[in-house]
Amino acid sequence: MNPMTSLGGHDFKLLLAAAIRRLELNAAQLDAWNVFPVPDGDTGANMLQSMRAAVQEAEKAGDDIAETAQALARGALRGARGNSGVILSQFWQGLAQGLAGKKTATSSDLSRAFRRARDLAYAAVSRPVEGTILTVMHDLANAAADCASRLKDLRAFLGRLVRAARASVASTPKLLAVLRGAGVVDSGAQGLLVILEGALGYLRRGSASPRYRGPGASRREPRVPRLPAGTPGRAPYGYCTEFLLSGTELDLEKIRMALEPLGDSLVIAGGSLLARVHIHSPDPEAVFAAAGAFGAVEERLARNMDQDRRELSGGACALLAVADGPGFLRLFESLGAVPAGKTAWRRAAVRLARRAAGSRLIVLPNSAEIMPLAERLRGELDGRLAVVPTRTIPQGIAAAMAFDPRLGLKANLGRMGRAAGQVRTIEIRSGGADGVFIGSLDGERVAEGPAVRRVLELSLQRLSLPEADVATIYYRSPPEAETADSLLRSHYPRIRVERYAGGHPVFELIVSIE
Amino acid sequence: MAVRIVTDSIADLPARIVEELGITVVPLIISFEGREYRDGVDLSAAELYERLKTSPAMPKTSIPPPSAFLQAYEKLASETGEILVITLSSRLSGTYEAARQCGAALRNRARIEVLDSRTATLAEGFVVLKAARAARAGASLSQVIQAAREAIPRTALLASFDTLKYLQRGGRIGAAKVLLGSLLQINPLITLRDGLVAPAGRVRSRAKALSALLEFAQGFASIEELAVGHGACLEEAEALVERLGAVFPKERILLSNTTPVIGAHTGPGLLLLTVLGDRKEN
Repeated sequence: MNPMTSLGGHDFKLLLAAAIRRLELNAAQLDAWNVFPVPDGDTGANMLQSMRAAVQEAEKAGDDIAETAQALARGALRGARGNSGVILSQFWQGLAQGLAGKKTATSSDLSRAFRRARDLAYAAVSRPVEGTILTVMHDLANAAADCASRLKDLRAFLGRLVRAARASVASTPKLLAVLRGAGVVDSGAQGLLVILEGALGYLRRGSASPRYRGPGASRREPRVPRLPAGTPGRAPYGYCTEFLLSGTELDLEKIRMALEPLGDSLVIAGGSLLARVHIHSPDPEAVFAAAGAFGAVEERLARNMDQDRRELSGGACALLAVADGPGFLRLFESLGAVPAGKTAWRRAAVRLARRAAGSRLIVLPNSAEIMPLAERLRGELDGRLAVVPTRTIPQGIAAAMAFDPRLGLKANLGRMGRAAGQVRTIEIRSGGADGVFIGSLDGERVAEGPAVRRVLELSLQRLSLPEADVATIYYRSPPEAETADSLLRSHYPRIRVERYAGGHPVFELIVSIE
Repeated sequence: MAVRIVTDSIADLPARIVEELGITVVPLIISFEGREYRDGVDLSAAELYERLKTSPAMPKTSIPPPSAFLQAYEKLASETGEILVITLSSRLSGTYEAARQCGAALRNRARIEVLDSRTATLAEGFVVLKAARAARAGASLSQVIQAAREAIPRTALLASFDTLKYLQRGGRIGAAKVLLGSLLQINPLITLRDGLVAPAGRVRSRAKALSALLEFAQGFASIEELAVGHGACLEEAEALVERLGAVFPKERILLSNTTPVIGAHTGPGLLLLTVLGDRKEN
């Protein structure tokens, strides 16, 4: 085959047709890999539909490459579907701008066009995320710039770009945790690779490929690429910094020049009144200050990208709940508290209170016996610990449900205390060897009798609550729970009763009523 | 030439207001059982919920096709030179980006600014409402933007969900995932924070959730607009409106049976309170 050193509009159309055919074969696979930004399984379908609309428009254009690329870009935006479609349409828009005025394109022309295409695609999203189709566009433009002057033959040139794109797609799970978790590469990134592979296939096969005439059925099974191992990582990203800039006559080009030296992945999107700015920078404050010269800097966000996976920890408050019984320990843990038994809690509290620099530890004693001990510890630790005075486990559960680690101490103490106060607790325990059971209401002894059922009945009478929404029975043995359940329902016909195996070492039954 | 306002279907504004203020609504898309519907145009939430009861299929939602924005802009560009587009949170949907790209494509036809409301549902709707009223009063594009932006921090939203499975399946549960995996039955309370779904609490019963919504409204020193949205639970929503009458004139409370796209992400049993107003100190 003779070297091919320039690409005209005619070949470009055939190349696009081949790209679509390859996309058709792979669309289902792309759908299946779609986990980011939202796992809704439509990346393949969206990209295919967007490309079809774009190529149909390109088919109508004359045989200049510039004209064909412009028609492609026009059709791409009008026919774009989904997020990947919108980004792709901007890629074509950039390509068209890069090829403006050209009848045919050399590898150097294409290299310039790919750079423009990448820039516009990044600008298409106000918060570019690496490990996506954008990363492939980025690596593609870099690879093109590296080899364009050496590789004049477009087959060799595009072959090199496809290899670069493949490596780039393979790096996506390293850059994006959600892909890693799902064990896939990014579907949009893979989609762009598929398009490039289709284009390369056309150049290698020669002009025997048919032009694009509309959607065709695919017979071959989709090729399933595998995740290659050992792809290189990247340097730390610093802070993903974002803000809204508002002014009267924003000059986006001047702003770009001012911010560019402060980081990378800079995106400035908007008009002359409002612009959304995104940049990865080691120093967000410097970015805000520099931008402040052009207008009002608002909605500031700076997220440390190197610590993203730790974002859920590090609240303003931590919570420790004292409870015994395996079910209760699990329950408190599920509510975001550190659970600790009656013998272990003190040490855990001291450790947490000392560790929680800048944040505050809240303790739920959950029994009348622990309450004074917790108060004493508060004194010993100079107020680095606060106590919500819960006298029973259900009060503690209600308080833990109202706990919000992001809120400050005062706000948490207020809402937790209120929540605890809205729950009534009946506890029933064995009174010793003589077969007597003792019932308490909110920690005060109120009844005793020969059977759990009788004691619960007496305790409910003492409670004298006319109406209740929810009762929760924390039991040790299921038959006791059954008994309590029917008794509660007869007492409160409209109540919802829930049973939970608390496994408390002392109480036969704990019932919360709210 | 007055500024014209464009928004998306998630703003969930009643048709009466949309018409009165000349707002253009670009619908998102919901796909269900192999067919595509324009949000709130070809399918109502009530129909969707009805069909969800018997269909094993799950609805899928997507951003409006850019062509819908282009058409809307082109039509308005023939009437005015200035357009403000207000979208739902760009952290929940690519709608904002699509609106912006289409605006850039038509920049020689009209001055098109796109504002990310950083919220959704009727909270977004209230931002649109403020902008549309300013535009109607003859404000300039920058004044209309100002009115909209001032409204954003004054919007607030609290929702009670029956289940978080729809929110989780739709991939938008965000920080509210801490409410999942509860060992006891809970009614999760959800809000939007920094444009993302966030947890706002958990209560043990629907009755407590209703009380939480009421208390939320009572936390405002002054309320300019109030809306109740619901997902196939009109009776409860009406009961809530009745109780909210204590803090805001009942007849001015907007009641909405959400759009199908919202419904697809919340599921039935949603009760949603949105406020435009000023919170009490502390």
